[in-house]
Amino acid sequence: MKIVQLIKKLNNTELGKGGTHDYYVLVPAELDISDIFPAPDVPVRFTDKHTFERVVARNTVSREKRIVGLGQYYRAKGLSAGDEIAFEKRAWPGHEEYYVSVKHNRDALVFQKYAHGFEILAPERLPVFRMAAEEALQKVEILSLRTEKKRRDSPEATEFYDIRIDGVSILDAYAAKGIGEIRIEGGKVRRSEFYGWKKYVFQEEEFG
Amino acid sequence: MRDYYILSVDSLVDSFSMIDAAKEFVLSVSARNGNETLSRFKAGDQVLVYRRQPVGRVNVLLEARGLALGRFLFAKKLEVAGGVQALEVSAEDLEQADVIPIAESVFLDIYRRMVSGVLPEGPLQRDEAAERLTGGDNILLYGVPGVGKSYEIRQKYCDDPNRIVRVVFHPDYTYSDFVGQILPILSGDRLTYDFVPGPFTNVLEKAYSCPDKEIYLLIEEINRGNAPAIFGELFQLLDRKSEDGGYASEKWGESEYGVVNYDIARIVYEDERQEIRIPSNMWILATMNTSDQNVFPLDTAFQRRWNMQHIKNDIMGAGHAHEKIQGSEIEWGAFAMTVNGLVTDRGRDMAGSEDKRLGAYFVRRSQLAADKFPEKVLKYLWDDAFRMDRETVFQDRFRSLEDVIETYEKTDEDKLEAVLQRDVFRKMRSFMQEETGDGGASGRADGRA
Repeated sequence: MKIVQLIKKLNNTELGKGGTHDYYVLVPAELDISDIFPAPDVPVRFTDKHTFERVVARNTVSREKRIVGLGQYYRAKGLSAGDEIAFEKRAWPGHEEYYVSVKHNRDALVFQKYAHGFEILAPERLPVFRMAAEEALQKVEILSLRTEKKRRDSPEATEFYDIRIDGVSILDAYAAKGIGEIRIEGGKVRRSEFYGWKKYVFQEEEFG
Repeated sequence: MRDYYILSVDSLVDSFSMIDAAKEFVLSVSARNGNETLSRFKAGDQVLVYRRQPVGRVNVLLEARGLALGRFLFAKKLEVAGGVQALEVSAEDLEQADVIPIAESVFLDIYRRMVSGVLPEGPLQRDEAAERLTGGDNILLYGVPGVGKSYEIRQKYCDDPNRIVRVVFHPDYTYSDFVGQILPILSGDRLTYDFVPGPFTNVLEKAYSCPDKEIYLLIEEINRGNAPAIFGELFQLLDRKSEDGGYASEKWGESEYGVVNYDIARIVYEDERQEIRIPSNMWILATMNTSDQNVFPLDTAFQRRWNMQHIKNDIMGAGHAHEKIQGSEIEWGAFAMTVNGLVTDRGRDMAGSEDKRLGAYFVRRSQLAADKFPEKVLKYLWDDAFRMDRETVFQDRFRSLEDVIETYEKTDEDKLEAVLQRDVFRKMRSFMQEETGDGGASGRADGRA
């Protein structure tokens, strides 16, 4: 038996919240997905591991590599930036199964650095995070800095923030466009890198 | 010298459950930064697998077996349901690092807590000399959700918790979970490896040791796991001796063919050379929902070994079929029959839509109350059965389930009429009129007779 599991953290653009209303998973150039998606435009039928609903996805290769066909699934799952999607293939000789699952990071705050400060990528989760932060042993402040358009042609203005932990800003800890994630666990503030993607391969010995 | 580690994986990585115990497998992990996290292991190292938050638990123990042809091999030594917390290790490390070296004492603490949950069940009063009951069989009960399969089992087969063991199959359920697996056992400071029986082996042993009692293994949702793979070679045991095969009556129900399995034989017969057979007093019952939620369709050879028993969705035969849904003139039977008709009509071109039908006992009598019915039934119709075409059932004006429930709860009119499409409501009313044949339903709109 061989299992390939591909996990991708989603951002607003992939979730159709970047103004384009396209729903997809962006596949980085260095990531090989051919063991799950054997060829471009070939539909693969996934089963959601928990609800057993069917999701038909395929990968496209044009300007960039994408996994598409996920709009309805994204909407049904109510995903936000920082949530994760996992595609999985289980293969035995002559038999294959495909699964998809998601993980909501409802208690995490995901942000991206711009010149004006941090943009909170899932602002709908900010109130929940603020409540959790009140319980933290360290002082967490999310301070509104200004409201600006990200680009001149942006349709709407974006609110930018500074995040301070025990009075110290973490703005300088991130490069431009860098994405970060913080959560409160056991009263402590945990910062983690937004890793983008991971791939796990399990292969039992006797399988080709 | 062996070293001890925690391998921290994303919470979505549940694939270790698919790996058979003690079988060697290659594991590779790659990430955006191209880091290969497994290069530090050497043969003999003990590796606990931690699944990150929100799981936040250790439930698998691997042994590193070293490199073979440039690939790194592991063997799964232990997997426990639920898992344990790794309180001895910094939460920061667990969530951030991929591989965390730990001291032997930390490993042993975590390991002890993992195995402390793996204990055999309490014994039944045994009388091995008693005459063995016969007639055991494999029965597969199927029907739509809420049709009363579990009720049928309690009524018709067994409602004694001491004689029935219940397991639930799911996509990650394996042969090792079902039959048993070789696990490390700590005695004093020594670590040894021994076979720890799973539910199938435990039930087999109980049935063998208690010949005068009917012992049941109940497999719920059999088609949600890969049943032929989970049964493995034990599949052969499902052929039972019967009158048709020309066997003497005292053998009816026993496996026709034996299978060699040293681990099971050692547990059941205390003699690993003996072929194992299902005894005639052991029943295997299974349930499955029909159609579209069949992740693993059962193949013909597997199905042939079961006596299939369809549980009819007898809505109008249910005790509460003629009970009014509180706050409406509509009775539960008319409601469910009409909705099921819509499911079937809608799904002619959609495989397995019948699985979305309402079973006769989808709600109990008490759940027809105005504060319970919408939360259970309307929510199911909105979120699941008609998720893709809600306007088939609900009025077009509703944009969210919250709107539906609020309208249902607040209206002074007939509650169902306030939320359902007009023609759906009419169908329900017509159904009741046809049932009674008197051209009109009686009773108060608040559901009280």
